[in-house]
Amino acid sequence: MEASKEHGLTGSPEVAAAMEAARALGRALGESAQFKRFEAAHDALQADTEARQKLNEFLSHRQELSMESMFGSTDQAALEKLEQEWQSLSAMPSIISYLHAQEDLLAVLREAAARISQQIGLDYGAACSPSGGR
Amino acid sequence: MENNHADNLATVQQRTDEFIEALLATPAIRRFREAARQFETDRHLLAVRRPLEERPNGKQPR
Repeated sequence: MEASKEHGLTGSPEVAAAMEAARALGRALGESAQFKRFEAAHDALQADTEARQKLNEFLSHRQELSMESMFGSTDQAALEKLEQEWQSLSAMPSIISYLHAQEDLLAVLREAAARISQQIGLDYGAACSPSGGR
Repeated sequence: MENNHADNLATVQQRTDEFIEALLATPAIRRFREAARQFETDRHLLAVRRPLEERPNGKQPR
């Protein structure tokens, strides 16, 4: 805690103002049409049992294949089956809506992050990732 | 609907700019920007950096 204060991470009015500005940005993003559409699409997907089951199966198969490919034993037939599963999934209305809503929201978030990165001189998105951009 | 959509995006942009302004005023970002400026302009640092960044084919490392 002392180290944080020493490095200006907490305790100064400027930092408090930055935190409040960050919260205001978060609220604005939460009120955006893109976020609301994403939230609705997410809820619709959660309510679509069939789509969710297919999606879980697809993700599970994709993970299995990813593990297999790490050991150099990718099965071509399994890859084709995975591709078919994706084709079937991506034709489902709730999945289509979710993917479109996600894409639209990500575009807004990326634009905001790019603005911030450009102005402060560091890759803001990478710096905020769990590894801190390292 | 379209107007609302544009209004929402304008608000996001405005809040982003306010956040940037607030970030730029913090001690941490001020120190970072000063360090970055020195890193790019300090002639002693440049004298050390240049040989390190030069590669045999003349390309800069990524």
